[in-house]
Amino acid sequence: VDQVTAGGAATVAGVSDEDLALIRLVRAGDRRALEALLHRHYPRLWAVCRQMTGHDADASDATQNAMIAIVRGLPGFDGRSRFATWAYRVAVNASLDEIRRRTRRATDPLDETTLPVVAGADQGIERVQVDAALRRLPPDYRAAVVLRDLCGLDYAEIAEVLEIPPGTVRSRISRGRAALVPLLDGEQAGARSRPAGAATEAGGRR
Amino acid sequence: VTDLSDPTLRAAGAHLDDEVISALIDDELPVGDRAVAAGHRSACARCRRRSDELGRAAMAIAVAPTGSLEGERSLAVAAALAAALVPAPPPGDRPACDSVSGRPVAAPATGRPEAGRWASSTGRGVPARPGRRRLRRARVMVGAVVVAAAGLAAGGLHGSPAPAGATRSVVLASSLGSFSTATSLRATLEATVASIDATGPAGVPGGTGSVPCYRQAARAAELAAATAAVPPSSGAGGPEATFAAPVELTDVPAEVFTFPRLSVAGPDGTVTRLGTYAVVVEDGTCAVVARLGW
Repeated sequence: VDQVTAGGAATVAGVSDEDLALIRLVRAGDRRALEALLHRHYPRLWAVCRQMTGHDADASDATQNAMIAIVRGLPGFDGRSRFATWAYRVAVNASLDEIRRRTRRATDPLDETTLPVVAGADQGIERVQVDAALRRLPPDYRAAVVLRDLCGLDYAEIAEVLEIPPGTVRSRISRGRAALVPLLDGEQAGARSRPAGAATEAGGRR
Repeated sequence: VTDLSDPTLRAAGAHLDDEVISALIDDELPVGDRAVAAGHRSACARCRRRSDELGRAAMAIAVAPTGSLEGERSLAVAAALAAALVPAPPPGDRPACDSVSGRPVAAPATGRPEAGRWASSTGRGVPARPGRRRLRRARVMVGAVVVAAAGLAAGGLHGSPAPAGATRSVVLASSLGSFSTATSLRATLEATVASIDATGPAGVPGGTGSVPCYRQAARAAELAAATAAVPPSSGAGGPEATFAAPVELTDVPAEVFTFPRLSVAGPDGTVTRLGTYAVVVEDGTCAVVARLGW
């Protein structure tokens, strides 16, 4: 399910009609169309960056950089993939850049007080657990899992976004979920008090 | 990986591995394999339990994080739109400068432009070190001096260089009030900066517009002098904005101001001129300086 364009936007040649129309206008110099396109995709791109970075501010950083990269890359967007898929790739790369920057900055581990507040205590704890668990996942696994479970991309699309073979996508998603199970089910208390591991933040995986 | 072509899978007491179960959850197995795997799962309590575990992990990630998106979205879109109009600065462009001191703000050591980041510093031109250190009783100065090109069409400023010979005029300055927590400051800053970014250019030429601001005539000369010390931006655009109007702030973590916003600071010493940045200093000197670019 294309959660970004959900709501009835049919697809033509891999690009939603609405995106396609906006992109056409953008190429004709319509700045409002560009703004509309960016507005339309911001929430999902932010969510991707948020899940990838585990941090509101870093997610905003990454999202903004992604938006700028999208604008600058739009002339080269060939429409062979959905705009959303292409935008996800940009967002994931921006997030990975942000994670690398964060590692270099050696920023303090995420303070629990800076975690987003969500309605209801139970939900708040769950958000904390998800954030902590995701931060302990190698970024490569994290990207695959987020693209699948949050963005609803199929394996072929994820392979395109991450530029890896579909078999590797399947493996990363499986390993990522398997790693998340204990983190979400029982070890989250420890995860909450531990910094994101440098090894997991920087590590590359098949 | 489980060999799903083995018809004795069930009889042999074998189990599905995680990769097969995960792909089954995602409906990514070939039709024949899917039937075998699904059949096994329905008959095997262990594999069913594992499928539930992996499915729960997937569901947890599927819940989109919540956040105060509107302000963020406005900033990000504004930055992207500005990027559409302002090409990336060439190497060797001037370094970003502190609007108050005129001294270069240390560039982030990232090796690539960071268009969306608050430039954060402590002291005059001294780079900040994000970390646990907490500012105490910092004075927060928030406001704006916009150096504008007189007579230029309102909508023409954003993303465009000011014409040669442009005159300067002090236009905006606003106080955000008092804050006792970083969270409240941050929330207010975000909303205010978003508002300025959204409407600032329209408010520039005549000093009017919908930006919540007022003329700060008493400090106009002082602030104009401060901005005059800032070297011109790349191209013909001049220094654009300095925020000033002291309020008290207690116990603010320095790292609060390292979160991303529109910025002019590039790690390679170039200026991106995309929008707004903040500088935090301690004890009586300027605590927040934001720059509105075009």
